Amino acid sequence: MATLALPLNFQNLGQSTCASPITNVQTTAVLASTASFGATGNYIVRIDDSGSPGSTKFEYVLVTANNTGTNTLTFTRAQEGTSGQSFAAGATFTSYLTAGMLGAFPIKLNETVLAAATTSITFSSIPQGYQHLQFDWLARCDNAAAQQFIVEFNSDFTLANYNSEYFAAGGSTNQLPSNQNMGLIGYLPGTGTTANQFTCGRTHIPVYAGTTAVKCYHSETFTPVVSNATIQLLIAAGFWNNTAAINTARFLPNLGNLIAATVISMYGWP
Amino acid sequence: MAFTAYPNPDHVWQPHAGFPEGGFWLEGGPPQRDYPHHVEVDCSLGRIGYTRLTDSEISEQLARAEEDIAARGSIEEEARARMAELRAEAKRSPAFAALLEHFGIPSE
Repeated sequence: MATLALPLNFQNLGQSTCASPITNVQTTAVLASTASFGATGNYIVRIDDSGSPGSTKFEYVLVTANNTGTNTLTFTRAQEGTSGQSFAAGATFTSYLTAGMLGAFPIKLNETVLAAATTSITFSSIPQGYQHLQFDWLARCDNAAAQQFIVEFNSDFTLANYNSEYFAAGGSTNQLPSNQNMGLIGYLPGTGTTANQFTCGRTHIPVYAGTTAVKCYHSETFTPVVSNATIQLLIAAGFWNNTAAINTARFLPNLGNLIAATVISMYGWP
Repeated sequence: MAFTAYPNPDHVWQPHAGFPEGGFWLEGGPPQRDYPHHVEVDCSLGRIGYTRLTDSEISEQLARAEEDIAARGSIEEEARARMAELRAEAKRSPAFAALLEHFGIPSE
């Protein structure tokens, strides 16, 4: 998905007309008034040859400056798949929210909130149009002891195809780094821990839809109180030894089930 | 698209299917709350599938849980023995006790 450079300064209801014709390469236009447009760039404006938006001859331009003293917009031509067009006097300029602008922001793609204990949560047919994938989660398991929280991709449930490393700090003590032959993204408290203590975490997967690099992730987590005092703040990173685009992600504790009130939200990042 | 990780769910929930007050069960009705399931969200259709664990999956979970309890017991025993050695040394040597205190290791 094509994305636009920030900052974006979109304003609702920006609309005016130009007094003179403009060519297909001209990068400024004097309008009747530019007061209703963003005072500074960047934002998309749609130019329609005449009348209101919806004409068959149109172009999206990226406005980079607005001189409200002279009512002049400065812009880059031919945005969002359109080509440079010439327009007659009276052409309409309208501020427009486009796919490229939406693609400049992270967006929530899906979310699961558990109402009952569940062995695993899987997101499948993950949209491929973003640069990075991120999961924000709050989780706890029903095993007696704390358990590794694991991610697996594309229905590859073979732990040996994953490798991860983590550091943990509990109280004033650091735990030595540990290597795990699984896609570890954190540790979850179990039933031996104070009730209602969940682990919160964020797992980020850069370039998840690419097909060149082996898939890596990093994960930052925190557990308020756990029975094992060495597990409180935990940083993990790992990889799935595969270059395929990720279209499915499964989350589960190494043992037991995820309990009710566990939440996993999935976001696409530009 | 369809469910891929668990292609034959026992229960399927279809949210936001034109019903302003929510979705409906396409298959199976609501799952039993006390029975463990795998949950799969099909992001293309928005459907949520619930697949019951098989008997062999449940047996494997129980066996691994027992192994885990046994392994943790021996790890905790080793840790206790190691701490006992450190505390004994700390009682003999004030310098060693100070070192433990410096690293935040309780010696009492």
